[in-house]
Amino acid sequence: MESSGTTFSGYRRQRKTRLSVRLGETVSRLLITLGGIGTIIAVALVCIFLVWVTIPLFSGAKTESREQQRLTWPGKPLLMGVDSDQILGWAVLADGSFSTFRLDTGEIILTQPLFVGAALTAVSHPSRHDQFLVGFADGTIRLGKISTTAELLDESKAATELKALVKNSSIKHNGGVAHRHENGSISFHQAKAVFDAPVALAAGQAVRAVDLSTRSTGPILASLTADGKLRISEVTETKNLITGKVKRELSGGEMMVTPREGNRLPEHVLINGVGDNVYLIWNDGTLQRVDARSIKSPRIVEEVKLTEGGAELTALQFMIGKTTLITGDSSGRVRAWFRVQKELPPLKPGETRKIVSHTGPDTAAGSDENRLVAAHELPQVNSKVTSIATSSRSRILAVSYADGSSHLFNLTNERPMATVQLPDKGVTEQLILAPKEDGLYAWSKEGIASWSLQTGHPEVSLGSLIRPIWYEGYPGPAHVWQSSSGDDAFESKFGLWPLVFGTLKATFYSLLLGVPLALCAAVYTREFLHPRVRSVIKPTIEVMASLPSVVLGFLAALVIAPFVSNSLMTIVLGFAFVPLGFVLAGFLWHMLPSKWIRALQGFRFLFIITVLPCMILLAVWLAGPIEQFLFDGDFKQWLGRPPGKNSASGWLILLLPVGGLATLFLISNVVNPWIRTMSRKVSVSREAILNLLKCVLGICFNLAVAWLGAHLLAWLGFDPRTSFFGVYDQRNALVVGMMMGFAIIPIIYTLAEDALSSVPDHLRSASLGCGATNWQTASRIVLPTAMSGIFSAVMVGLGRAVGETMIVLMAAGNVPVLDMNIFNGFRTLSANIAVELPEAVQGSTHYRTLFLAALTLFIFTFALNTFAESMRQRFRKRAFEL
Amino acid sequence: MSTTKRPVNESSSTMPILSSVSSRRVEKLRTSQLAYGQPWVWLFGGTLIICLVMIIGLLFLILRFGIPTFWPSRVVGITTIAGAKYMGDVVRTEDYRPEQNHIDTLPAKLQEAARKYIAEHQGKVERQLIKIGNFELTQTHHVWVSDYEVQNEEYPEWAMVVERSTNDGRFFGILEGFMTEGKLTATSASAAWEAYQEHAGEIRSLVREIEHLNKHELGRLSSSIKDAEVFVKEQELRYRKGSPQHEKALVRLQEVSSSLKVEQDQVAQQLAELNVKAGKYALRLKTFDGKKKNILLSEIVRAVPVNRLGTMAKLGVYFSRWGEFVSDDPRNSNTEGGVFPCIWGTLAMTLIMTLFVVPFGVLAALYLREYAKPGVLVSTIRIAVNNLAGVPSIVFGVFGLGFFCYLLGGSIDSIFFPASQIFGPKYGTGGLLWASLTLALLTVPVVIVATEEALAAVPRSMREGSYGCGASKWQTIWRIVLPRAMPGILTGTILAMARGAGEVAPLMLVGAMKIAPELPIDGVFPFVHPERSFMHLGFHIYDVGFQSPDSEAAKPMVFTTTLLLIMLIAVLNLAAMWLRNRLRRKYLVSQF
Repeated sequence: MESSGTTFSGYRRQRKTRLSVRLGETVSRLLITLGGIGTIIAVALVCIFLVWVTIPLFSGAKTESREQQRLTWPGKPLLMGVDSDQILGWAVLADGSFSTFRLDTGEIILTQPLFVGAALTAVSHPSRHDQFLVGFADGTIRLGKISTTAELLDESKAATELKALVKNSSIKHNGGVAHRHENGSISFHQAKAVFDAPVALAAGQAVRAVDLSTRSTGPILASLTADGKLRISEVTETKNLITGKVKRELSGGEMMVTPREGNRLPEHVLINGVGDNVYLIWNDGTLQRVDARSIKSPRIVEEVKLTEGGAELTALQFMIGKTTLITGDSSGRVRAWFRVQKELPPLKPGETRKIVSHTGPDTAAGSDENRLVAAHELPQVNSKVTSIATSSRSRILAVSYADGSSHLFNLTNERPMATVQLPDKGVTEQLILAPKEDGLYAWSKEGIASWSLQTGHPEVSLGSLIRPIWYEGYPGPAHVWQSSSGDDAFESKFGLWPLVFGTLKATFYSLLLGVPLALCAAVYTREFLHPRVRSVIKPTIEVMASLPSVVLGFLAALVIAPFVSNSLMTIVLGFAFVPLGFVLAGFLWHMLPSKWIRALQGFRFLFIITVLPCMILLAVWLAGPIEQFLFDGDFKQWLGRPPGKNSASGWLILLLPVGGLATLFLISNVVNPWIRTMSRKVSVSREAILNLLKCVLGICFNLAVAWLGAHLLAWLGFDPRTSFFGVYDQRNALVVGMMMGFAIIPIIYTLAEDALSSVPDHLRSASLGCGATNWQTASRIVLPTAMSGIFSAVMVGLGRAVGETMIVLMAAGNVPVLDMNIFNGFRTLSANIAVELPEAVQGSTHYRTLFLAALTLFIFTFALNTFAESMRQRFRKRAFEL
Repeated sequence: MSTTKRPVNESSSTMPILSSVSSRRVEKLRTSQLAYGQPWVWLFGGTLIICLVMIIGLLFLILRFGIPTFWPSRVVGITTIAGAKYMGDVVRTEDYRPEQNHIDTLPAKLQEAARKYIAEHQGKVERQLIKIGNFELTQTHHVWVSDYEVQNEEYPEWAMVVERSTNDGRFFGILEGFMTEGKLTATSASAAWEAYQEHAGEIRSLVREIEHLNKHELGRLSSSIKDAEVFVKEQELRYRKGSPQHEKALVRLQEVSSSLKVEQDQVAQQLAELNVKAGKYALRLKTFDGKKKNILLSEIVRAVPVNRLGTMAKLGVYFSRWGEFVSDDPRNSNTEGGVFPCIWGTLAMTLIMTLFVVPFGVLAALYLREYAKPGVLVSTIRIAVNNLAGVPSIVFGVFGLGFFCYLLGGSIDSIFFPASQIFGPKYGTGGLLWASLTLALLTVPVVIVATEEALAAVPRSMREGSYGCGASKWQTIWRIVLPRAMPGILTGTILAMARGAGEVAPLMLVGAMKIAPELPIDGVFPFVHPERSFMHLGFHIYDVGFQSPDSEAAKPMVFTTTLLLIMLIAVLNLAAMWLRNRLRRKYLVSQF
């Protein structure tokens, strides 16, 4: 660097450093610094980008007020709407005329009577495809459509007044509105109302209330006439082949509605989306639910009070899909109601239940096994609800109150999104949510106020990701992940908890298997194996780490899963027999004369090898009889049976490890001290027999404890099949646990072995020199010293298990259920990302939620690894100091 | 685990020794057996054995199923007691418990015998899975035949296994004759076999020519027309319809398509002629249950009279199938044929990844180790880089999809390829480049860590010697440090390659495909097509093994693909290990 100036010798340099060297120095420094920092930044970008994509999920809705415009009619508007570009709006007035107006100025474009010579008495709520139904005083109804159209105009043929139009401005044109967009094109917007010829319902009886639903098979109507007759009719269209005229006929059933006190008939009639329920609603808050599954004979099945404390019902609206009913009352309460299945009494042991489908007619009078519940209640505002508007594309709703405020909510998670206030003291009478959810309009006598709206991602909030949410049609709040469906009225269910649970389940079982195996193997390798054998075995286990996880996953799914399914009992027994076999063999080893033991010490590993096949054979041989004895011959069938009968056998299996721990405790605290004192008095072979006896008695004691515990639990009425066990699924947590345990073994093994290796040898020598045995040295000197290193190894293994994708993707069945059952599948965060991200629309809530899942994984594993790394550093420092 | 040997307190096992020294009571010198912890040692040894058995078992499993896949096993013909006749390969046999309703489907007379047979075997019966092929006739690839159903088993001498290039899979039949231009020219099996051997080679080369014409010539022609169309659309979007540029592009499209039309017609004519030639000969076969079937020689990839073959001939078939596997395209929805595009895709991706990962990884390591001022910041960065290796690979996939494909690729598309709005994204979707970059990010920590260790392992004395001779810092690094660190860097690179080649989860998001019709690197200008999606061995395993409609038919293919992938990764890992050992031997310096 210092190319000129004096050198340390004090002489002036004879020659300057060559330019090329200096240049090379500068360039290389620059390049390395830039490249190095760039690479590090690129790596850091991963986290930053994930955060950047995720953040919009939690930023709320944005509203911006626009100027209020005067807009009044002689009559009151019954229904209002705006087009999807927010250029013009329309209204159906009480006198039966149809009016369109500009949204930017409030200028009325035209008002024309729709129904000449007929008095409008009832208007339905909007249905899908903009269909409406209106009823008249003379007992006729008309089906129609109010739609808005937008078409691009060819500028070259346009009138001069249009050519003069500046960008982002509108002009009244030809019974509609012309608008020049930002990009210069001109579009023409129009609202049209087209109604069919009247159909007579009941001659002379005024129609009081009507509603319709558009099903895939055709519209279904509900109407109430002044004589108290409720008609539910399907519309059949027949087209005359010669004239081409479409003839509409109504067919269906009817029933009489019993008026309430004061001879009042219901003010509202509503029919739900699939047309199997009709709601009769009085303004005092009474709702009668009519079962219309058999359309010919509707019957009242339920009466519900929608309001409390004498509050009047003031606003009613359906959510998208017409399943959830929103009610607002004079006390400012807004609730969402939908039908759920009545809670059925719990099953008695051995009983099975047939699920009755909802489509067939239910002959029993009275109940239809369902009830209407208020699933959501929005935060109360102490002011009368005046109008409710629901979105036609999501679960957003807007509620306006008598104090002039309007609140936006997302219904599913009851998240308040925004609040807007009318500029003056008006009372909103009609609230309109623009079709694209990008604007909100409130009409009061003062005029029309409007706000531009950006909804953001209301379906997701931090709470709704982990809290149980009451979704439409569910019997109660639940944790559900169900991100997409073909239906546009689908309620997205972004409950991350089932996925987190799945991740934890997979991690738990794989650690349960992998950690003991890896740690014990590492201790044996380091402390008891001959160095020459060690140098062969260690790389062999490390080879495992380089096996691609897709290979492990495929083997788990196609080889291990069918194998486990076919010999489940053998595997379960193997888990108990194999470790027991090693311990037993260890005791038997003591039975040998000590001379032999010393001679064979070097070949001990070979003897240990022979135990494994013996125990596996024993498990295979005993699996049949034990299965017969405990589970009537088939463990899997026992798992599939409803809980109640023979539950003690299941508990027995679950309690064996618990009993084992109890036995261990007893032996180490009571039996071993006794044996130790005895050992001074008896001979070597006697002591060996004593120890063997201890082992056998310990096993018997263990069995007895487990058996007693199992019967106690069974007697108390608990059944393992409602928690740890359940219906057997071929792709389950056991299989994943086995394979993922396998995947994390090499990592934990290598790191743990490293930790043990870095325990200084002089500690071992000192211990051995004091007369401790190898085992004593390993268990009391080496292990405690290396504990923090071993712990960090487990942490790293945990990190790997949490993020493992391919194995769970292929072997876990991928059903996002919340179920403790070890024989059941699950879906993890990582597998969920792999399955759903390719289909998620860029920028959608779903997409961002999946990014959030990825971010969670990132932060969790990163933090875990950092923690493990810092522990390892500290351990290394300590080991060095020792 | 019912016992323990852990003494209650520290003194109990050592006390006798100490006290014996002082009081000379020799009989108390013996250590209790509990102190040796034999059961525990055995248990620990057992876990090590379980681990070893698991690894060896796993590798054995892959070899056991992967190696025999292409072995031409004998074709068995089975006649069942119900009169059904099946011929094919025995895939595997297993024990099962027959269900009552299965026996009920048998004719009444035979039910008794079947029940008796089952009762004799304690309810457990052996059954074999037979691959019967002939999908167009049987509508299934496999049947299960239980032992009690078998009436007669034979091995027909002239049973042929015909591998076809059509999507019906294999055909199992008995050779009957040979047809030339629709006429039966050989009626005996041996004559037909001779005729087949005589003409097979020539027809294969014709078929290859047809494939070449179809794929390359026609492909080239249609792609240049497509390019012209895209250009028209681009000009339209850029400068509006009817603008001079647009008109020009239209004219060009006209010219291109009219000039190519002639060429296209020529190729089509050539193809028609070749097709007639290739369709000249056919094998006449009879299925085991007596149906006649003619198979054109042009559809036959390989036909073998398996039961007549000696070991050497079988070996020949075995290796020719392996050859096809590594050099051919997949067919029959990836359950037959080869995996050449997967191998090519894996190699191309790993290579491009390496091109990114090595320079940047080495630069970062050089910066961290040689240029950055050591301190809290640098050690924090070091730990963070180290920990990135533990971040799940799927997270990198998510990043790759969001950042590379959607953000970067989307921007490239909208700036340089406006026509992608209409013809679908070019860079704005998964592709080779994005996959390589994603994996490069995933593996760069491996290279950084390995390089840093290698740099640290270069003895200080060497640097000081270099400085002492008056070399500048860069000269020292370039001439002294880097050459010494080279093996370490190479080890890291190879480990990164091994990790990258085996990683599948991120690829599912950033560009690996079930079937990618065109190779990402080929002979068409500009030779490397970074935007193309590609096939990958690991993803192929996932796709064929897990998403295939007929998993039984796909299984052998998955095992062989697995074998291939594992061999690739094993070779890379072994190379890394060898290098690491060499490095260690060369510089016996601690890595910490």
